[in-house]
Amino acid sequence: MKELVMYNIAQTYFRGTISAADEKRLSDWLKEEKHALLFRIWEDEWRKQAQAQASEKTKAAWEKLAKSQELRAKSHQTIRPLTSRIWYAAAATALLLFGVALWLMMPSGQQPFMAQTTEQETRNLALEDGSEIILNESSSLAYAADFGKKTREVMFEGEASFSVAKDAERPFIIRVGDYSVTVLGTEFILRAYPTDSIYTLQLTRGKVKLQYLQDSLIAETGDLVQFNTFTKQFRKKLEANNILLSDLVNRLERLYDVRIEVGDTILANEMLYISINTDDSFEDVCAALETLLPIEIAQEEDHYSLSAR
Amino acid sequence: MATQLVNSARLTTETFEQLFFEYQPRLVRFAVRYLEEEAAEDIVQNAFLKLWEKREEVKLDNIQALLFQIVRNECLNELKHRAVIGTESLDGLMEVEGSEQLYWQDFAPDADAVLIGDELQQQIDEALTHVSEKSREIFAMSRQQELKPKEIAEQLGITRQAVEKHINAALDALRTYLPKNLLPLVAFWQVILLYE
Repeated sequence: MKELVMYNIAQTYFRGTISAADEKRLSDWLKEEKHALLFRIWEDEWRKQAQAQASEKTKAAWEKLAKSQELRAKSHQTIRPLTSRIWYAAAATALLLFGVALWLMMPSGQQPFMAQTTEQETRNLALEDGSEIILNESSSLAYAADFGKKTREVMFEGEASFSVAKDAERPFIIRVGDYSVTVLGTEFILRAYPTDSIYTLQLTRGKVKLQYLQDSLIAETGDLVQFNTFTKQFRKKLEANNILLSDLVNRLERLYDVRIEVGDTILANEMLYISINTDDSFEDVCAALETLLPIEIAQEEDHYSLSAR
Repeated sequence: MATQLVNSARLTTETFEQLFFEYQPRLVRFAVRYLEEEAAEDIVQNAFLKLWEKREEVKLDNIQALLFQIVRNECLNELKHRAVIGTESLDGLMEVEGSEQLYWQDFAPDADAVLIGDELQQQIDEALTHVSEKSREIFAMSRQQELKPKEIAEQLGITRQAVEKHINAALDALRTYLPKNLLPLVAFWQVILLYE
């Protein structure tokens, strides 16, 4: 009698539908060696009919697996000799290399264009809208066949420098997973390899909007923005090589909405290399500048005054 | 030597399909103990794909033990990833109902069962020895008691920035020191050796 009960439990185990309570019962029962032998006999029996008795879910999973096996076999043959600048992606290989997300974003029936670089290759791309992109190593960029008609959207992975043509009606959107960069006519370098824990965007010129789900942030000329892929948080840095103190002051004024008066100082024409965490308060930034440069920043009634120390 | 002589038969398409139908259901059931169904199915799917890709190197005896090891390790890796990004409270893992033991009895009867929750907790504790006690304490407050940085700051009388620094230090340690469980061939040989 007990055996019959266990036989039925074993069947649910083979079918993957066993309850937590039965897992425990079966495990205890199997501790005896003769039971373990009996279990193997039942298993042999199951083996013969596993395919015929498979659930719909298992059958569907097998179909899917068989398909991806075929795809992989194909991709092995076609990935290597990749020479053309932009290639009209054969559905299978593109899908595997780039992930399903790309497929989902494409309107049905439209083949995506895709460009990809290998480990030792960079490639210049000229898009139809006039934008230019230099793909760095091991990077890929894809977009739908109707790119530029209604929207300008691309999927991206890796590192590239973008010089995006202005088009106020159709913002240029770069997607990296759930993270996106909306470009409002500009030049920048974006680095977002799938293995990176921090994505970075260095804006050379212009203005972009970065978005992760509901969070968004606007970056302007000279900004360096980091996106932490673990905490999903943005961090903006003001990074300026070769900037005049007077220009830096202008930037700070805009950034913190303050007024700074520069007293007569020889520093005004000095070139600075500077990196500021713009999450920091204005007071923190001032303190940092005072340590770095021979200056003093004092708060007056409605503005700040900067003078030589 | 013995391992090289026994059963040198290779995995064919047919046996692969047979294996899939035989083991997929119970492997998914195993993974569902720790992950939601979709993730569980994906992990099992990938385990079979890996096996197929390695078919030249893999021998047929104990192939189910290899499959089990891959699935188990991938579950563990996924849980580690979630521990780092903080979407999973690890406490629940210790109380997963049923019996993990059963799957070990079936797939690797001669090996000692190591429970996923135990292994994970041990690796996390180990990783967190690289940060200060204060950071560990604050990290626990944030993860186990699910307090917000602001609440922790108020309780401990420190700034919110300081709290975040501690949490980030702990996260950095997890990112750096939580080892990825490696597979597949290493484990394959481990399994073989256990059986000799």
